[in-house]
Amino acid sequence: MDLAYARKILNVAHTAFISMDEQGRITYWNIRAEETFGLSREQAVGRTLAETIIPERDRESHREGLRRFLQTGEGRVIDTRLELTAIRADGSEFPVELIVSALREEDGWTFHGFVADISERVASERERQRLLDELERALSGSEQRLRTIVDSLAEAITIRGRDNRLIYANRAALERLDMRSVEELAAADPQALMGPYTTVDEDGREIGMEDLPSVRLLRGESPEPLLMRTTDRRDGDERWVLLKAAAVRDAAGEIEAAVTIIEDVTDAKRMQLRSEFLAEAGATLASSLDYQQTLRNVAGLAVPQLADWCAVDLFDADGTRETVAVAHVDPASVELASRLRAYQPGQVHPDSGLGTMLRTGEPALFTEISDALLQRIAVDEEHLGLLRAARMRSAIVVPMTVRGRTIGALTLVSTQAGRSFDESDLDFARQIAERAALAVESARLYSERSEIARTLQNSLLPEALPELPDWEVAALYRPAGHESEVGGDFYDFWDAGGEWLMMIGDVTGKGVRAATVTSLVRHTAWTASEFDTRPAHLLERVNSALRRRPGLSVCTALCLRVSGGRATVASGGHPLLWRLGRDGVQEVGMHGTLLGAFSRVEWPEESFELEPGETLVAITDGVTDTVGGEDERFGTTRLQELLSDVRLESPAAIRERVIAALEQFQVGAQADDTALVVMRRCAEPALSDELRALAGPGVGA
Amino acid sequence: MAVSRPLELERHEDAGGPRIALRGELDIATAPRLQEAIDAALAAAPARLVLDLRELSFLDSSGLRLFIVLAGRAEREGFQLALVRPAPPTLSVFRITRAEENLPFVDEPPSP
Repeated sequence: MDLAYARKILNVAHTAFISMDEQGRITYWNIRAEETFGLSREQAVGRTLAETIIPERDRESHREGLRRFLQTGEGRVIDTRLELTAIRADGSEFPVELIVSALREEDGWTFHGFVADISERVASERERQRLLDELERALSGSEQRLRTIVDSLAEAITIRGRDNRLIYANRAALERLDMRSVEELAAADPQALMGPYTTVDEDGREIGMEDLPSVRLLRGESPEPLLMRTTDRRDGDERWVLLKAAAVRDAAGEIEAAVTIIEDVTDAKRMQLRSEFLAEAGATLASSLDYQQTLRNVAGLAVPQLADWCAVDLFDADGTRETVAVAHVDPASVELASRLRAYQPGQVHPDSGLGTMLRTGEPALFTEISDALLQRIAVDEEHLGLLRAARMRSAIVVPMTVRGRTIGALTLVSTQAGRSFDESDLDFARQIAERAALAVESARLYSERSEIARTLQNSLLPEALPELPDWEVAALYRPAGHESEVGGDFYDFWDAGGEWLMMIGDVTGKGVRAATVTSLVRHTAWTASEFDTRPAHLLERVNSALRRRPGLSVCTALCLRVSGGRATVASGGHPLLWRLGRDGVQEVGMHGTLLGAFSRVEWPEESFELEPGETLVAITDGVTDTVGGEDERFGTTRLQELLSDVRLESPAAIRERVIAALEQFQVGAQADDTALVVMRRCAEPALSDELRALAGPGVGA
Repeated sequence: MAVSRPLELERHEDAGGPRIALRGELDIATAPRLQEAIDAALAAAPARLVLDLRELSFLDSSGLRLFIVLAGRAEREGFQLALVRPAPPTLSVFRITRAEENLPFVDEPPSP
């Protein structure tokens, strides 16, 4: 490269470039030098450098240095980065950074220097120093003591200057920021300081530097304290911190810096989150007996507060695993998580979380999940791919145990973006699992109990309505309340040697005790009917049986005997039988004594002949006691009107009309058991529906 | 479950013994409260207990059972029990079950 070309390049360089001869005269002056010093090349070249850019007070030492170099060939300024003060053509001074090289040529030494204006940098450093000086002055006298105090505070304290750089940090703050000294901190790019952390607020919204209270304060806003969660992406350490900022003002009242107090509230915040979670999970777990849905809700609660994903597996008695809930913080990843759970469920590797838990019966904590672990537990390449895609950082698997039996497992996983779990997380997961296990167990017990109740209830009702000659029959039984309880109402039909007996009754109370009494009543009536089918006789036998029981067992019952068109009825404290005739409805029979209650007893019978097409309706008091709006009861009058309206319809139709009327009337939940029996005397020997259909229209009805 | 409708209980101290006036509905939900009031009234072993049912608007089998048990207790413990007859809709429960003739009903509260 020739000299002329080199000069062209130097001329347009972005740094001032100046050359000087042995006499100290300027021989070259580029465009940037013209701008920096406010002097054209024509003006500069030929003048001595000392008189052009060096303040008067430094000129002698410059000349002395030049003389010494020419004598000895050594100089302190050569090839060294120097910070000096320079002057412009107008006499103003400014700081520069200078590098000078010396070249030996045929006609002697030449010197070449790059000169950079560093006014801005120096100004900001001066500002920092000034603030520090001021801070120290403010702490004067006891400065050392105060510094010791500030340094010993557990709270991290930082001071942010107007240019948003951190200019001071106490020891706790330096540790938090992973800085060795205030100097190192001051040199760091404030944005870069946040770099390794994922920082979000309480609602999970990302926090940027512009959201920090100190930065907002310097911007002229009045920020509220900020609670934020920072996760160190390098090691998964998660912290909750509370930032409070206060302004430092200069004499004129202008904000010149912001002091931030950073309080680590991780323990308190986690405790709060956990107790909130437990309260919420407790309510959720208690809210429903559909345990699968419940567990799904709990898994949903755990994310994202406790983990990035949560899975619940239940084991059957034979060890079959069923994943009932998977929740993931990222909806798109739910499928991946589900696929992972479902991947060859029979092949749980003993070193995997579930495997470890199953093998040892103890909770498993994986603080950091390594790729080596993934490789070890992967069933095949596809599985390994899924495991890697899940980007798991840390995991906890705790057993769900009830009375020493492991019924399932709760798995919490944090991903690379999340934090590492520790022992306290493990303890907490155990607490959740314990509650979840109990909820599952009670739901199971409840459904078993309901199953027993259903079975018992069914055993207290006839398996199917009998085919009575000359009669069409429909019946209804609606138990009130929880399905796990056996109701107290019952009805029964049985054939007593050519005569048919029907009994409908209501045992006071519910549950197994009521079921026992019901069973006693039915069996007593069956046995008694082998000797004497008179309804009054049956009621009398039942009354005696109940009176023999310890304590008070009370029951109402209505007993009806039919033989052809002839009916005989007696009531033991039970609502009377309704007779639905062609022209209207009426109660038939007389009141008899409640069964099992009294020593003075009477069961008057009434016998009557039914016309073909006439209907009998027996109810329990659940029908008339049904509660409607404004606390009104359905009552006898409404029942009578209803029966009158439907008196010509079939038993099945009447039953449906009664159900509909009660459901329409009823406000709130059904309070009492309800039973209903409807019997219609056929116009001729009853034909089954199939026979009617076969016979075609015009036959039968 | 059944919506609990109110039962108001008002206890008077007559010369012959306590008198409890019932107003509202006596059912499975309110019967325990009446039982408590009765137990409290009988704690001092009075010679007589009067239950005024004239303002009782509804009675179910739990309520009826309570009266039956109480009548047995009166016999065993030797105090006089008097039930002031309720109005017709409520009285019908006692009629249907023939409890009316088995329980110590009176038409008016006995004179103090």
